[in-house]
Amino acid sequence: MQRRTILVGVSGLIAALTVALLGDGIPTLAQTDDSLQTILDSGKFTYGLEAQYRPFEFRDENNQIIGFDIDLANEIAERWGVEAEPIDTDWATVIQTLYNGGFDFILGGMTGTEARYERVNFSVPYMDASSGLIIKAGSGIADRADLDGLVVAAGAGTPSVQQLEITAEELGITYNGAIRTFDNDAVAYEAMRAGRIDAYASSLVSLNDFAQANEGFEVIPFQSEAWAAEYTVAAFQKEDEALRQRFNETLLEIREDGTLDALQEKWFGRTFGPLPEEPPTW
Amino acid sequence: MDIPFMIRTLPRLMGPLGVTIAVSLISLGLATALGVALGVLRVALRPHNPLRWLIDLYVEIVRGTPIILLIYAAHFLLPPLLGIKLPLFWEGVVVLTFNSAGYQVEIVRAALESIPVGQREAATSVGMTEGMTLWTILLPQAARQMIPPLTNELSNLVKASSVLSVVALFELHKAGSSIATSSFKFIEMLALQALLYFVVIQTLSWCTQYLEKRVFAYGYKSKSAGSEAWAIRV
Repeated sequence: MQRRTILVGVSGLIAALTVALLGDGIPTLAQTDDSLQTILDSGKFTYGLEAQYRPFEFRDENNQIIGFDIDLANEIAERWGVEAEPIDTDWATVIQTLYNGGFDFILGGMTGTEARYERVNFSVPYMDASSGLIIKAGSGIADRADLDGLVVAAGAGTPSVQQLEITAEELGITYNGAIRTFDNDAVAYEAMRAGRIDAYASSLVSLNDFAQANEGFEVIPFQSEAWAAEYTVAAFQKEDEALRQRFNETLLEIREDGTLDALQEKWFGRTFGPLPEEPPTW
Repeated sequence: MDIPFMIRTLPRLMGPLGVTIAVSLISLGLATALGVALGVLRVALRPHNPLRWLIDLYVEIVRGTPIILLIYAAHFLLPPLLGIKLPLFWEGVVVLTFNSAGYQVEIVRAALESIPVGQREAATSVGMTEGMTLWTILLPQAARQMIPPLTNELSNLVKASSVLSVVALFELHKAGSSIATSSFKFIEMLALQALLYFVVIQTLSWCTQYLEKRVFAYGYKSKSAGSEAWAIRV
């Protein structure tokens, strides 16, 4: 009797695990896309980000989340007549959390990449996301080729990791050890200060933001024909097409009437453009 | 180090510190209750009881799983598997309790089994039931022995709560790193966090020392005698 109970319990558990693990592979039944309607009805949308990415999103003196993305989300919310609420989350697992229902979409300085496109659909771009390399001033690194034999690093789960890999392959150089990855930029800057890494790749704008506020660092562009131009986009669950389309319409309005330029000027000190009219796809 | 910055920033960490303390204290209470209950049960049950086997399995699972994996599991597996989606704070309580209670089972078991077998035999010989023996003879003696390892476990629990930052619970460590990224004052924020964790754990440590010396002390406390008089070991 006892044994049977355990057997039933165990097989139940295995069945549940199987469903959970294979869940992604089972095609969802066609259902109506109420992603937009739910937001309009409830009068609020939530968006995921990690508030550790200055100047896109970070915390002010009162621990309130502020930044370029927050202003943009509020602008969109205002045009829809709803409220916008940022949800601070872990960036490395942000897409998983989106599908777990943690928030309605991701608006957190995300760069549109092919790997991410396998899981999510992107909005039209709202910012240039070109990569840069930060180095210690006077270290003599002027170009990607100078990285040969050095310790290089990038943010965990960011496209910069692949770009460093591509660079090594393209130029036939080898780094000193494996590419190091860090949870956020601040840890990497500190590692560089401590002399543990020689170069760190991240988005040009956030690196510039740091270098302007801290002495002894230098930022150089990190670009190649070997990877596509990069843009900052919002990301949506694959099935939430109604929401994404409405988002794109509003974002294009915001771009055309000059509001986006004003926001870029406010947070980055300059404007970036022209941006493509279409969402990145692969 | 920018000391004025640290002083200025301290108030910003008070809310998150409150979260750390709350999540730790609630988990601590629940984990101790669960740990003691399961530990006592583990000792009381006969060798071939399946419940005893389950308790052992539970302890092995906790011992063999890094807390960060337990946190990710609670965050990403519980909702689809059981349809439970708890607020982040309570998710933290569940994981910390689950983790800590597992270790406490072993602490309680070890303490109970360390009581000389003569105590149990003497109790049985005067006609006490097994429950009475456990409750009035073994547990009071074991309690004092449990306190030092339990204090270790409690300080581990408070420190483990920092790992909840990976699912973005805005506790002390998460707040510390958020401020570090927005202010670029990384070392200062590390030092502040270390200081605050130290204060919390030191306070807990004093509480358990009090328990060890006063509440669960052997012998009796004389109202007139000095503070050493009651601390007589049997």
